[in-house]
Amino acid sequence: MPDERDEFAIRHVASLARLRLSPDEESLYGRQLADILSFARRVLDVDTTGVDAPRPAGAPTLPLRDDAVRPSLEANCALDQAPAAGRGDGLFRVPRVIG
Amino acid sequence: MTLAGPWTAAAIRAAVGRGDVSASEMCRAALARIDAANPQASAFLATAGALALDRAAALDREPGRSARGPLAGVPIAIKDNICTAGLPTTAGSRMLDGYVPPYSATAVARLERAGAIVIGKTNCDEFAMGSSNEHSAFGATRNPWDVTRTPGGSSGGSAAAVAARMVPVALGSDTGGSVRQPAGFCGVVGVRPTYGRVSRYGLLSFASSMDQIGPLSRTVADAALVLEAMAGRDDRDATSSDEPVPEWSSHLTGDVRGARVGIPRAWLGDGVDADVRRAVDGAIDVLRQRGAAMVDVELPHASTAVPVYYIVATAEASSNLARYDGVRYGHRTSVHESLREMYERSRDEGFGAEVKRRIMLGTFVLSAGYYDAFYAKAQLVRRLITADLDAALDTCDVLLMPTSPSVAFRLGERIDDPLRMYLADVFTVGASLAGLPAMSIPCGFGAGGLPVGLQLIGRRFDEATLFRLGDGYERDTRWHEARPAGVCAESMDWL
Repeated sequence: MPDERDEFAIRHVASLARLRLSPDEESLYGRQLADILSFARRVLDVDTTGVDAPRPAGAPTLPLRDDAVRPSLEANCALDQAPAAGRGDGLFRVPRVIG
Repeated sequence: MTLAGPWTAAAIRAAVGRGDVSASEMCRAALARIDAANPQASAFLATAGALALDRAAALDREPGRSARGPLAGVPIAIKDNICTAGLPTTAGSRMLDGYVPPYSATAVARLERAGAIVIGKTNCDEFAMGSSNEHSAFGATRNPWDVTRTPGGSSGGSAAAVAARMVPVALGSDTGGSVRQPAGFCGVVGVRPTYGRVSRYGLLSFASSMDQIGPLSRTVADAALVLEAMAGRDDRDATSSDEPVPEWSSHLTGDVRGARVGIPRAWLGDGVDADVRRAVDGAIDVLRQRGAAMVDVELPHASTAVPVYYIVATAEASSNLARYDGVRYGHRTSVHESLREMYERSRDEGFGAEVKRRIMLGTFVLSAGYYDAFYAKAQLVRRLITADLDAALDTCDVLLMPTSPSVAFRLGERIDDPLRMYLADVFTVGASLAGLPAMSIPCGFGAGGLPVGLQLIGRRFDEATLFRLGDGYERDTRWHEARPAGVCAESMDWL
């Protein structure tokens, strides 16, 4: 596996995370994250031969509830939280997606 | 009237039940105390004011005082990443500045049903990511024992509010130690319940496989009282357990005879400050004299817990925080040409530095080419850490260690060095990764007169043993009665 000190491309990762960073932030976070990853690499050296894939901690089984319609948050109440919404249409508003 | 203390939740419930004091009087006293002490500690981001007084008055109007529930009239503070209908819930983030949720978390609703009065919302590191409260977008909470120091985090506001006698009990959330570490730094009790014990419905998600809501209080009995009122299965959280919830608070006898306490000595050598070690050694003697037996245990993979935690937790955070996109709630940028730009600018403007770091770290360890190397591998090592803890708990009833390797550090001391901040979570992240219950209790004072926390880790769903040992220890010590002179110096009718 490649060394992340070479590979850690802060701009690419920020883009995947939908974050827009300033050049100063790119430099600072790039350095800090490379340090943190360098420390995290000690995990890679642990012998995990024969260890089973994980399951969620705690709950041994996840019970399913009945697939029944139940009351939930009322639509206008949800729209009230939105930065931009068309209440009458029951829609969240976003910038134009299709040209 | 004079409200001479000490006002634990148990004492308030009894006094309100007897009619010695009304819920309204307790509520007014708590609000006055917050007015007096909060300017120094910055523990609260919002108080419930009229809402709380209305609720207290309604409680006072109900007939049959003793039938009003196990927390009747008890003022409680709620960490600001837990939803409270009608009260702001920001999680310490600019992203949610001004957000008022239309519903309450199940834990909050259950406490209110038990008669508790939500008195306000407490400061925290943004989205619960941090160990110092300095990552709150609204400024850091200060440690009531020394206001130049951090209260710990991320539930630092809740810990400071209890330590400074603003409220008898508070809720925090613990992902990697966020209840226990601030409890230790502020000299109060903090409990991380077993994963699944308390519903996460209404808790803003950070790392869903580890997030748990837990109580902070001055006494172990109060922590038990709060936990039993909010624990149990909830249809709105598929990971909540239907394990029966015992009435822990009514079974505290102080008897710890026969309890086996495991001490991972090899792990407690280097890296623990001498003052912390002295306090923990003193606690071991107290428990031994009370009849508990000490046994040595080994945790071979303990040194990998911090890196594993920061890989798993950030991966889950990067996924959970994708919901903050400026569309359905939260901050939206005013400058955007396209949907993509709206997402990016909204998130850039809304999130602080630590949240961005963790989202990017998590995005990286989940990304193509690195998923198997980091995330999948960390999950395998997590199994080994869990197996170590389970094996140790086969030979003893609880594990004992410090909550943190040092007392509270200075504000600003570690803010530019995130890795150093992470390393201080060394004793708390293990129980989080394994889903085990754990508790921090005050066990003395170290350098600068700052509190030291003792951590006990129990078997899954065996909070009973944690409470039994913690309560027994408390009966032989007075650490939990000490109060921070600086913030509590003025004449107090609320203690």
